[in-house]
Amino acid sequence: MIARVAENIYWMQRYVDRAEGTARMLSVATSMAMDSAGVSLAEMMRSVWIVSGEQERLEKKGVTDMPDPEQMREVLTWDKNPVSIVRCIEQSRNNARAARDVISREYWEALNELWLWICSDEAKRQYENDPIGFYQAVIQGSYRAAGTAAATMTQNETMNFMSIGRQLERAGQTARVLDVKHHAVGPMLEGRADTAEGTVLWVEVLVACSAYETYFRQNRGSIRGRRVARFLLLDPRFPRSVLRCSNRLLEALEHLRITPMVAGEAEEAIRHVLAKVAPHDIDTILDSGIHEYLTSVIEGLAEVNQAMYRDFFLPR
Amino acid sequence: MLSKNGALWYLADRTRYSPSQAPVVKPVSDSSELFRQYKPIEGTFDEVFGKELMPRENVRAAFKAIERLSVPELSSKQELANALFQRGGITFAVNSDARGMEKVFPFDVVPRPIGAKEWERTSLGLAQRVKALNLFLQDVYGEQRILDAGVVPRDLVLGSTGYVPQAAGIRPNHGVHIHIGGIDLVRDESGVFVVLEDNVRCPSGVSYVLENRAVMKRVFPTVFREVQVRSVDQYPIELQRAFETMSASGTSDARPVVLTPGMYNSAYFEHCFLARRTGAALVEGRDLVVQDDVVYMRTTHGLERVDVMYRRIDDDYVDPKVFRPDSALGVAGLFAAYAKGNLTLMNAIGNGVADDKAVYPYIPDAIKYYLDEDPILGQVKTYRCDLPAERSHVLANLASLVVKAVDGAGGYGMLFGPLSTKAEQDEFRGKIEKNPRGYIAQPVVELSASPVFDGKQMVARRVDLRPYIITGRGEPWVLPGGLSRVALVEGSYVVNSSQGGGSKDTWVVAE
Repeated sequence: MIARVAENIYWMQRYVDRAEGTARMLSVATSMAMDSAGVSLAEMMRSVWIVSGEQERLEKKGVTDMPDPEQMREVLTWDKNPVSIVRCIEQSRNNARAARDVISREYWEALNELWLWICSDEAKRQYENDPIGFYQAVIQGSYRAAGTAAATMTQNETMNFMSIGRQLERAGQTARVLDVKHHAVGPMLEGRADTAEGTVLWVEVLVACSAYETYFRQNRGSIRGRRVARFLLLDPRFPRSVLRCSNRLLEALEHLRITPMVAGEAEEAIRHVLAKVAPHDIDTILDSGIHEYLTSVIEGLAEVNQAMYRDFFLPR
Repeated sequence: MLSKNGALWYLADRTRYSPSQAPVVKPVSDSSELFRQYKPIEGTFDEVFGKELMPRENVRAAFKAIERLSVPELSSKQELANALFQRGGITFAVNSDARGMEKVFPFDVVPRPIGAKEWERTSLGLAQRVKALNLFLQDVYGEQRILDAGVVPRDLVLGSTGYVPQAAGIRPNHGVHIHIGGIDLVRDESGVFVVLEDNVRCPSGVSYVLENRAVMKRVFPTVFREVQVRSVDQYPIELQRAFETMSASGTSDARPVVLTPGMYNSAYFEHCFLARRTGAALVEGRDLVVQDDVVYMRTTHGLERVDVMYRRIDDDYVDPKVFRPDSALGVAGLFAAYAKGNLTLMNAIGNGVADDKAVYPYIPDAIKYYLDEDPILGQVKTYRCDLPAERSHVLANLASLVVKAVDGAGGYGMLFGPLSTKAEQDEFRGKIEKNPRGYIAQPVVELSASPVFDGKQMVARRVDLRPYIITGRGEPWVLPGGLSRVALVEGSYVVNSSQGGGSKDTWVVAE
């Protein structure tokens, strides 16, 4: 396929998944801040703010003051900056519009409808009156698009590039969500007794990764940071775990091999990430320092992105 | 989009239009709420109501189901149609906005029926015309027999802005110059289709024909059961067949490409649509590279040969080495690949000479010359401003004529005499005197009118028609119907989408 188009659909998928991830985090934060004692919206929003990259971006510009939580929510949802949900959906939809010759009509319509909806007065009203419902609708819209793609598109190069975009975005989000919370509840990982506040935060992490119910099906007893971390990093089957995402990414890259025997640089890079997540048990990871570990995973994923350009997107 | 390539200016004489005097039409059925107040436009041919304001037999069936609808029912159908266009992203970009703001091309849900018998004859006329235009192009860039014979003046042809000297002596693969043609038709006062202008460079709009139909099937599911309407879905298949038979390498697995200026181009939706429907790759100039006179595209797996290209970029922009050096839309070296026969370009280079409006008056003679047949379709009387006698007639009658630039389109560079101011007439007088070869003039042609739903009732509005003709190996294929464009706003005479124009689904109906 045309190299420019491949890059285009890769980002189309990353953007819609990014919008979905941000919506999920904002939904959790909004919901939990309403009734969880000891957890403020400010604290919740701060972590979303960091995961979205806004914190870093503003720090680079020399801005150190954090906006108030309502402002953050507004910025992450509507603002003109590229991380807001509405901009991510717009980007994704515009990329899809430029790639309509390789995606299915149904998939394009699903993304276009999500965009038309978020631009509508109805969406704005819902944001004011029922913010949780609003974020749920964004998530549902993304699910709907994904399901439509799966049901209408053939498993070809296009789908492989979409899959790489999606898995890379998901793995990165899970790692970041965990990393941010690690700062917030660091002591727990060292095996100290779980506190009520800690439990609330781990619930937030699970919900932010759509992992709450699955986690409890697989883990009996009280919620523990160690188990949550293990589940989100190393579970081989959960669709948003770093291991699962990395494996699917590898699969897609293997399909894209030009010659069956030769792996590209992106494939090498994801194998490097997999070496970090596959064989380890969570204790080894925690002993070596969770923050350092997650940083190296996030950097490894960034390297996959760079390698995609060298392997596929840059005209040769 | 249409504003760039179409004959969109279509207008009629305002002075004759006085709705208050026009008699109210007999409804198709007496109980029809929609047609109760319908008034034909005086002096125009009404496509639905004929003698004594009775519905015409050949199109009556198409309205039977629609006339029964109440105003709210038809309104909700119009809303559904609008929503479907939005949802499908069936839009055109507005040129004035650099970020590419998108608009839905206004659509009227009332179909525009054309009887099958009439269409049969029209379709033969279109095929005949395209065949002759193609032979004309072969000849002009080849032996120039028609110029030697004096049937078409040599200076007129070689002096055309559409004539590309670099293409002289190049015979495109299989001799086809016009793979895709769009011939604009209007009805004269007696209701007969005549050719208004030829578009044989990059005629646009066909995607709307197919999308309009798809939307209509959602909006009027039952009507299609009652009326036999000819399908338009064959178009992409015919186009694909042309790709295949025109392929330069002759291998059937070669992947065709559609070359687009990019997503901010006003017709981008259509470029995408055609690529999707034919399985072609949609490429931009930056995706292409030419090596040893062969065109390649840059893919994720390296370079891949391109041997047939449907380009939606004007001649001037396809190759900065040969044409405009500042153009980044095409690719350097493309012309050489074309000249060597390593690339089939659809349409060929240099077609503009055949749709030059000053060459147009000679097309009936060219049909006779090449095919030894009488032209099936008539056309509009045209005055060439480069001939002194005709020029003085034009200059003396600016207030009653339509003046057009010979290479213009879309209502740009034209004067509609009856609606013009003295200052505008003086401006054109100056233009014509300075560059007489650049202008032609025509008498005002009445357009036909067709019922349009204005939200409250049916009203008569003027329409034109752009049929599409595909030529591969063998006889030209004519799409049943075409794009009907309509002046939606009352008092407006322009079917241009940027000026309140819209479109309708054209139904070729069994009689």
